[in-house]
Amino acid sequence: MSYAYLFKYIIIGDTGVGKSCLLLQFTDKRFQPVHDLTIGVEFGARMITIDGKQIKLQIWDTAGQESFRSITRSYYRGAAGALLVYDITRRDTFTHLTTWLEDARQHSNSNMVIMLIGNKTDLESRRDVKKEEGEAFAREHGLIFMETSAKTAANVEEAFINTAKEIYEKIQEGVFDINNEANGIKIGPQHSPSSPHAPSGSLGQQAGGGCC
Amino acid sequence: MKTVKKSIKAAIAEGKSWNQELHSFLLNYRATPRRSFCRRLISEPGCDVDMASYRIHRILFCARGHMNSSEARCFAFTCSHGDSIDTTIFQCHVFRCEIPEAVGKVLMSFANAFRRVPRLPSSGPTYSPGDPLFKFEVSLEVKEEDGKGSYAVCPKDKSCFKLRRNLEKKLVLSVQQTAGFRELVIERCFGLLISPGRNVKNSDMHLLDMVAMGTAAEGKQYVISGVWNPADHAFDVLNTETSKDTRVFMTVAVDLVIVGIQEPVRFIVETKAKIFPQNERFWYYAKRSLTEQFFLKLKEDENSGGSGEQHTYLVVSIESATDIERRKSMLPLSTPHPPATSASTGSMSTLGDNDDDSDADEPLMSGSGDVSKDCTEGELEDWAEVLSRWHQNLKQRPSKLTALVRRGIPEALRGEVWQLLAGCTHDEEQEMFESYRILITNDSPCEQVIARDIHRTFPAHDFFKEAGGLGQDSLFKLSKAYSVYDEEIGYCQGQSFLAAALLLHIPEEQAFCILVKIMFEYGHRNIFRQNFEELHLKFYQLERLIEVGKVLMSFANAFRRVPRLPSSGPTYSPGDPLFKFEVSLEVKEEDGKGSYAVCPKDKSCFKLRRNLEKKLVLSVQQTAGFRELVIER
Repeated sequence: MSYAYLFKYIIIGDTGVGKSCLLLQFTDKRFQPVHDLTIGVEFGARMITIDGKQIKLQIWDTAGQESFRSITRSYYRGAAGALLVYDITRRDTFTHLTTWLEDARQHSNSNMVIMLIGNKTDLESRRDVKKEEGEAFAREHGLIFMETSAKTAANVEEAFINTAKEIYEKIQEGVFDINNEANGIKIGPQHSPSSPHAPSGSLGQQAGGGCC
Repeated sequence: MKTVKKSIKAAIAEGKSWNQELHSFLLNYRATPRRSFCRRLISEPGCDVDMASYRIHRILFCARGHMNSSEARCFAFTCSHGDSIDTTIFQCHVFRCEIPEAVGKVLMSFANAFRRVPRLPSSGPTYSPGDPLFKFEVSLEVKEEDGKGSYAVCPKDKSCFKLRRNLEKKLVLSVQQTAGFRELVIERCFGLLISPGRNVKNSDMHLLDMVAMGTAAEGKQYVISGVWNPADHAFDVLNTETSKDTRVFMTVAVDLVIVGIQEPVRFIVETKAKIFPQNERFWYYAKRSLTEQFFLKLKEDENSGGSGEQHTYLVVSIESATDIERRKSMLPLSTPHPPATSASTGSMSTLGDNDDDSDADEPLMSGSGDVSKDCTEGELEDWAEVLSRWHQNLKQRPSKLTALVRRGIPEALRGEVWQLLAGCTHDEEQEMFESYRILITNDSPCEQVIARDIHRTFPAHDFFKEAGGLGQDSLFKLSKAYSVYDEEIGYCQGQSFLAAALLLHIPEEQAFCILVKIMFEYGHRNIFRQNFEELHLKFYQLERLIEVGKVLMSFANAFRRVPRLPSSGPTYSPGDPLFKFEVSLEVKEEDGKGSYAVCPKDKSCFKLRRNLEKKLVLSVQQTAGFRELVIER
């Protein structure tokens, strides 16, 4: 299927916060209570529509354990967006955000859009990190913020698509050099790079997945 | 028995540790005299006389005392006997072992004996004609309370039920035998279970309150119905509105007692649902129920003694048509997965399609599939010979060994051969066993991480899929013990798969011994050390090797044109000015790295891929003629 742009994403965060489940919910629209542990890096992809343009998201899902950082680090480069995930029921995953962010900032290109995600809102009764705390952290570090549930699919779609919108806007503003693939953006095969700065219309969104 | 189950259930519902609850229950239990219920199956110390023994058909619940408590050497299980619901006797047996380590062994043998109860991945799709293969059709209907005190059938689109939030639901399952060499009579249903999701663990299924069961359609069908309260938190997923284009999976299971079959028979139906607001109206829909075919393979129980004329059967396998379909599309285990294609795979064409019901892109969980257990007589003889020589001299590997190993170690011998290959000597083992027993009692800083990974290791494998089951328990202990033993590495994600593979073939202590050998002597721990320094080195080496390969490949391409000599063919009369030319055509495609790769060709058919820039290469060569012709341009 042809696309206007391809955006590369990376999903990072502590082990067990639900990174793979978020990806699966976004790409396959399903929640898998039982699944395999992610070793190293895996990936998924899906088409979305923004501003009437087909955009392919290529998403790299990483292992969360500390020792794997030396491997996942090499995936920051060449990513246009990052989802930084923590688990709202485990405070330690929230406190580790600072090191994750340092890592991401150090190894990515400076324009990478980072979305902070507090996952597992379906477990409200076990909540350990207030929504306000997530918001404050995001404000302080200039991130976009959302709370999601990979289990109920709440906000999952939005998290991925809002990140894409932000990237798309940056392209429109000319912040991203779209001819440099190291920025994590690729122009689709059928689209000439001649008019990347088309006048930006209203951002419409439409999920591109199937339906049953 | 009900009290045990209830107290455990209550503990789970309240989020408490059921282990602890059981622990206190056991204490209470032992304090209450229940001589009539509690029998010892094991002989009195010092004499070989069995005190009592009888057949147990099904263990309802089984548990052991808390590891670090005085109940560590205790275990208990509940079971039931009887012909009908009214006469059934529930029993709880509590045991204390002289040797604490024996508890694990006893439970392991229970697990082995009863492992057959849930769905077993059967070995192959073909059934030999003499085999008693039975077919059942199970159909499922979901009904919703219609506000007038009765239940209305929920609509269904393809295989997706359309449900509405907050309405009390009723499941109606009808089971009908459709093939088999004799009629099987369903005696009763003793459990109707449901859970959101698929590939659901046994323990995650929720028992529904059954409202009715009995035969219908002149005895041809057996119908079971049960109600499900949407407000129950366990069903939250099935009571949360699904967003546009989204559906959730749900699994329904029914446990049946069939006359002549000793074990319970469980049919599992996996389906999908979309959840709508409570007041949603559906304008157009089909009311057809969901049907699933099940293939039940039985064999006669040779141990049943054949005393009565009643034959008894053992279940060899239960498979649904969907299982079989899915298995057909599954990759064989031996094919290594490219690392980047698990999860949801990036195949865009299927994701964009409207009809993505095929499930062909379903993520394949580790532990699914079968390991071939076939092995020829000759091979076994070769192994027997090699092993006997090897045991005589452990220091020297027998000459034929390498060749045999390359053909694959037969399943049954794997544990033993691995031990020998790793060089676990008897003395060393004894030492290791001792330290293992101490190690498992120590705390490890990695405990939480390990616990988080246990249910994500071979989640599809029968041995590991049960939460808190024996497989998960020993995997946890083994991983934890290693993390204490090797502080520098501790626990690194991925290790659990190695440990699990060992546990499938050998007991914990021996597995620990091999694991240590693999890590230290085979140099595996170097890979994990210092942020994978060695792994990065290996990646680097691999990349360089691939580059060398590319250089060699371009040499090969450069020289490929060297004249393939034309066949001399028919002779031409010398005076005839006939010349021959050979023209060869190659199509190349842009390979994404700035160069062009040759496209494959089948007979006279090139295989091209869409959207890739192409290059044509034509070479023209004179092969005959009375003089040379020079091509200028």
